[in-house]
Amino acid sequence: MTNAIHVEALTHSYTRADSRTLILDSVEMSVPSGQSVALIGRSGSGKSTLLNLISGLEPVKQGNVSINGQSLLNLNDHQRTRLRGRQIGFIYQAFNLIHTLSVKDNVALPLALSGVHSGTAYARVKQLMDAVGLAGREEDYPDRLSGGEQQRVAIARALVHEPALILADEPTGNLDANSGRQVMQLLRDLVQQQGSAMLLVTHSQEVARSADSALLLNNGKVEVVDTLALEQSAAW
Amino acid sequence: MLAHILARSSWRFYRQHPAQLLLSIIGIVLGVGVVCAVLITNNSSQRAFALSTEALYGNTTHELIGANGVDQQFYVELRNRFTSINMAPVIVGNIAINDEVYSLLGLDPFAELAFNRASNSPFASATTSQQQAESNGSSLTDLLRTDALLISEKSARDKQLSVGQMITLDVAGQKHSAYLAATYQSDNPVAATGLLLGDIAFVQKLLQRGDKISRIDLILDDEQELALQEYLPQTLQLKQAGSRTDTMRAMTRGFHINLTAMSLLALLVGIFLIHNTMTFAVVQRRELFAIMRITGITSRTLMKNILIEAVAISSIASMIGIALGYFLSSALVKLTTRTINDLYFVLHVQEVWFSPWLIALGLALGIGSSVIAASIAAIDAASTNPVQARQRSLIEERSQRLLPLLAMIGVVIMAAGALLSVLPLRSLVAGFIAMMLIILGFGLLIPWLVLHITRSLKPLIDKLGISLSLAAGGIYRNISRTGLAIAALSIAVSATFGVDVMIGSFRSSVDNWLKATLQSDIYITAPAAASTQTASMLSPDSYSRATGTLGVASVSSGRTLQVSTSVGDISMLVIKPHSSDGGGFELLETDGDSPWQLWSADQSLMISEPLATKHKLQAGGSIDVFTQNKGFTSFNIAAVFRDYGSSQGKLLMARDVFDLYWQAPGISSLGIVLNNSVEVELVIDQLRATLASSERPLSIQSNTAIHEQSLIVFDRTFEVTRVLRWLTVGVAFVGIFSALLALHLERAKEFAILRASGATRQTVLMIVMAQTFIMGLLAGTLALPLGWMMSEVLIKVINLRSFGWSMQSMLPVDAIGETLVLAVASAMLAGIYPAYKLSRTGIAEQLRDD
Repeated sequence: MTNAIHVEALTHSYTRADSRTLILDSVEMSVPSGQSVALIGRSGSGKSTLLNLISGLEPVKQGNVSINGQSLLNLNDHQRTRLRGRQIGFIYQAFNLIHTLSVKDNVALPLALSGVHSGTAYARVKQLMDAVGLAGREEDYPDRLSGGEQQRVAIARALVHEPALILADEPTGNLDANSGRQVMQLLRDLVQQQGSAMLLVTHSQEVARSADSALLLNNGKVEVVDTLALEQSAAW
Repeated sequence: MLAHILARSSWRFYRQHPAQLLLSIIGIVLGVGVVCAVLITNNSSQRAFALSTEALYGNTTHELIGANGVDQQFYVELRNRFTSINMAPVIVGNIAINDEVYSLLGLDPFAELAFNRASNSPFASATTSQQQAESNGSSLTDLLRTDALLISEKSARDKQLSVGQMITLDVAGQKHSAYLAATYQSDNPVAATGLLLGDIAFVQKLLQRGDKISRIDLILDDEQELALQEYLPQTLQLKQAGSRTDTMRAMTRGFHINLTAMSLLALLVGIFLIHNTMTFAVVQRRELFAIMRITGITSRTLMKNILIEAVAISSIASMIGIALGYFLSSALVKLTTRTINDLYFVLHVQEVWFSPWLIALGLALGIGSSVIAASIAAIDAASTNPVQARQRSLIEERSQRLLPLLAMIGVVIMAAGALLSVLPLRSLVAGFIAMMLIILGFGLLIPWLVLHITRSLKPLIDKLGISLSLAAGGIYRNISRTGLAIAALSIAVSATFGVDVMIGSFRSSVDNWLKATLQSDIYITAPAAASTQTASMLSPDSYSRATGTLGVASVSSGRTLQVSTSVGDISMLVIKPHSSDGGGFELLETDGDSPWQLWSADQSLMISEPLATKHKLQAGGSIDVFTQNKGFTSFNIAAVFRDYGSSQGKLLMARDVFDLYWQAPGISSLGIVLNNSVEVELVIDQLRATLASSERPLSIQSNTAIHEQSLIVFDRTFEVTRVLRWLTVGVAFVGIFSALLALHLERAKEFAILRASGATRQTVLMIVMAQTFIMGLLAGTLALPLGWMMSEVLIKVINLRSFGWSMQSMLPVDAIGETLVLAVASAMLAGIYPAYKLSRTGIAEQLRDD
């Protein structure tokens, strides 16, 4: 089985006013294709940084990250962006939708950026809007939707170009328990249908348990944890 | 305490956004700077007039003038009869030293004591004691030399002239020597820079005035005035002193009002941009303000805080603007003085006069316009429901709903402006108000037009790729921001287009007029020391010598002089034309079918269009002219002719008619028509040789050369307008730059989402640049109709009212292209930095949870 994500000896630190803070210390991890993996850890443990490095939003300086066998190490910003546009879908805690674009245009954005013809793109958008249960809300603007609805739009946008990898950063963090449950169910179903891999950063035990496996980021190191034993973990 | 907390919050915001603070300041600085520069320039010119009066007239209350000077014998008679009246003979003229023109004042040192002109003049001291005169570096003997002249200490120092040296004077092209007998000190800059004093007898000889003097200056009380009036013959006129300066001031009024209008245009653009920057500063903190409102801060307190912020920023910026205005004005004063010298009269003073009220006015303009601009944004921010403040789409939706109403108000304002411009008023101010209303109305209409244009073009643009599609969409989806930026740029660019069309139309009219008027192949004149002064005379035999030259078909003669009329002092051209139909004069209005026949008859003349327009005179009417032989005489107006040569108006009189009323046989110019197939240059050489025997150096030029020179003067006249126009573009550029920077930085998160979704840096660059390109193109395109409307008001209302010139408007194709290029280039240039900045923004930072 190939790995959607393969991280080798990844080290990352921030330097601020003469002091250097080590965030990731020789991290080794993998996310197999078609699998979903939860990444847990305390606030400030470096989960978002790891996600940013995996997605190519920040350049890898030490160690290596490969997406579907393609190493990011020697890619420049342009090449990383191209790779992200083709192979990665992003879901954020704060939804990060463009409020001056309609729901339809928000979802169509990755396709438009890849140069897909608008007819084809909007047909695909319609499919996904049906799939996320927002059919008929295409012309609305994101800031008129509830939090749960906005996250559904974000899921549709993340999946619209059928990426091999979904990166989800606290996708239920801004939602109530019920909405969160619904959104996660939807996300899992759609990711499975598409056969994509998913790396899911979460603080929720329930969400983490729903993943195929879980990784704990602690003191800059990643270790595999048993999802059944999560309640006992100090990571919460 | 609350005020302090809010002030600290504002301070922190601007510390985090220094570029925005800087741009707000620059916008106000430029707006206030340009207006202050023009106000200071106008103030300096007005002050120069006042000082000229003081220097040339001193304590004089009245002046006695004749149609062709005053006989010096009459002065002697007057002095003997009215022994108790202070009076002094004066001769005024212009001479040049090393090509620099000076006013030359010929005075009688013994009559001068009471007049105190050009204060501290050694003339005054010479009459009191020799010792005092010596302290000025000269002896009384030197001062009484027949070729003595006095110059100010400052001029002597500047020109490196020393007392006791002989200097060469250029008097109407002839060289003369004079002895520099002394220097004098004067606090009056006119006297200190551009004035030479001499004994009246010497000056009379220098200027070849025969037994004539220019005027008699008098210090009169009411009783003496009455007594004198009874004694005076009708061929002499008693006037209030300085009335000629008032005429000069009136002449240049239109010119100065035009300058002020251009500066107000810069301020109007400045207000748009101040509003822009203040709006962005408020909009960026919308959510912060919402939180403040939620914590219990009232909308009134919030509004007060925003307005205090506007006052604080604009106070600092206005002070800098006033300082900038002061520096700019020194360049503008030079340009305007040159134009006044080209077109009106010799004005020596180029000093900048600054008065404290200009500081008050500059502050009032800067702070006032900033507060007005900020108050709109403040009301909006304070009145927005705190819950809705985060909903950006709601804000845009509300803006879009407001646009039709704003557009309608704009159309009504424009209609009011158009109506005001066509009303038969004579007020120049009303003309400017009309133009400002049209600009303001169109400015309000622009966002609505932009919304509809971009929306309707969207399907077409979508086919051109994602960058253009997102760029165009970004314009109408953010219309509350983009509409304002486009309006500001459009107004600024329209001002340049409008002024271009006006200058182009004017130039073309002048060009056609010159082609029609310059009927002779060659013109001969005796050069005057200053271009606008009454011309010097040619030798009496010049006419016959020219007629006898080989290749000459016919010769016309002319003479220019300044005459007093019932509507003020006016230049009069006396001609003996080549043909009986006048030739070359375009008659706009005539009294009957044979105006030229009527013109050559007794008591008739023609008047130029500006004179007719300004004083509501028409063909068939009459005008009183003060003649040498019969005093004020009424002349019938045979026709009104087109003339761009003088904005104060001109009279045209037949030589035969002139000779009936003046005893002034001289001519100042000759026009020569050549036989066919004769080489112009060849005849010019022959004429030079033929006329060289007469003492005076002559200016002999082909009509092509005069045509070219006239257009050079024309272009120079509009140099100051061009400078102001570019300053307006500068103001607009800062406006569009700050608007784009604020707009795009506000959308930084949006672009980060795009980047995270797969948009490369180049794509972001492309989107931003494409958006600025479309904004520039829209601004340029919308500037064309507005600019055209402005040019129509400038040509048909403002120019007509200020100068009296009518002209055909022309739409130069190259100006259309230039306007579009200017708008697009300004927008794109202004978009480079925001585009670069956005493409480099850290995606992860922007997408971090709030």
